[in-house]
Amino acid sequence: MDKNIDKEYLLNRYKHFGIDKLPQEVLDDYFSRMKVVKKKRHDLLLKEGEVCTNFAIMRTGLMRIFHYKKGKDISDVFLGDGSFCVSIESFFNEEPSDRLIEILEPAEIYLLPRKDLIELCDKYLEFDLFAQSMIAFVVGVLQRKVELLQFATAEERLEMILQDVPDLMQRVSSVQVASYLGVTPETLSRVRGRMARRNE
Amino acid sequence: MQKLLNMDLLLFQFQSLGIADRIPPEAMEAVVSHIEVEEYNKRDLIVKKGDICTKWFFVGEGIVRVFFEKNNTEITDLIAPEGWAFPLVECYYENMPANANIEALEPCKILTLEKDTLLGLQKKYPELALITRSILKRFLTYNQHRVDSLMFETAEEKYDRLLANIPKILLRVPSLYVASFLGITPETLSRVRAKKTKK
Repeated sequence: MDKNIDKEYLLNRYKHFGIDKLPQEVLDDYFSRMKVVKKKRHDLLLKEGEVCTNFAIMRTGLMRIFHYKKGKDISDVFLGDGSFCVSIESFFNEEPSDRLIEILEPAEIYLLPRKDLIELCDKYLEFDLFAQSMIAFVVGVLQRKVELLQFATAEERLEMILQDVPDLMQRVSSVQVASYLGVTPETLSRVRGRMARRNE
Repeated sequence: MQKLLNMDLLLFQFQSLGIADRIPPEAMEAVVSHIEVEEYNKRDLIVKKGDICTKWFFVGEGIVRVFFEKNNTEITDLIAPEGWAFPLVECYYENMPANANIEALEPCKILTLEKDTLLGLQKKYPELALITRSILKRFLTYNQHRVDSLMFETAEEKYDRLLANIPKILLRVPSLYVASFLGITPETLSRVRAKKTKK
């Protein structure tokens, strides 16, 4: 049963979504369906064209979701310790994914198969609500990104992602960050220069 | 009589979510008897920033927008015509006050269903879980497309995409709101429209 899942960590990290309110029986069922995998730098957790069949929680490590737009590598999001991720359309519609998930730093990941997630939701109303809260969180993340794209400057966008992963610039290439912000690497470097001068 | 009309409105919602044939009639009946139908005039605020509203909103008739203020500018976040359903995520899932407003842009009929009511009904009719799941799924996909659109599409492509979702939108929604929604200036929107008319 115990597959070295850090339950204490999950109970703490996902308190916000109400995980700590789940009855012990539900938690046991949930944790027992998880699979632990270890991944190396540059491994792909999900390849292009593959169907995303797992709900992934990353205990430690760094990863990104990205896709190719006219052959160009575009980062959608960077995810650090304790983040969860799916390729949205692929996971929910069971279709081949246009998104890829790449490991950027050695990672320990807990996988919950889609079918188990649905079974848990069907079986326990409390779990359904917990899962909904997590999904709603992703909606919120996307909405914030929409707002930034509507009106924010590159600088405001960069500040926002640094809130999530403060040392991001030290951990991933600036080309990847630039593609996430939707700016050229040159613009990114100007923005960083401005921010550094302001923080002096 | 009113109940029959409400049933029609609800059925229309479930059809646009693609779940109408998977909800048993008795579950539909139960939802109809718990749903509130609210009527609004053009420009009425359905929800004000700071309100607490843990409920689902279904646009039965009319069109609404969700907007908030940033640096003294109104930003239109969502334009939802009949058939659309959504929660205010921060209220529904995080028990926080609304951080945006919902405004009727036409005379509207809005169906609302309280979170606790739905959860109660779900205990008796588990199929009703489909309502939440299908709305969240659609909302997620919609937002993902919106991010992609804002990042990579030209003003013209963005406008075309919006027209595909809501035909004749500019007959129903002021162009200022449409421009804000697309993240472009009103001048750009008017250039795009002029170019399309010429074609």
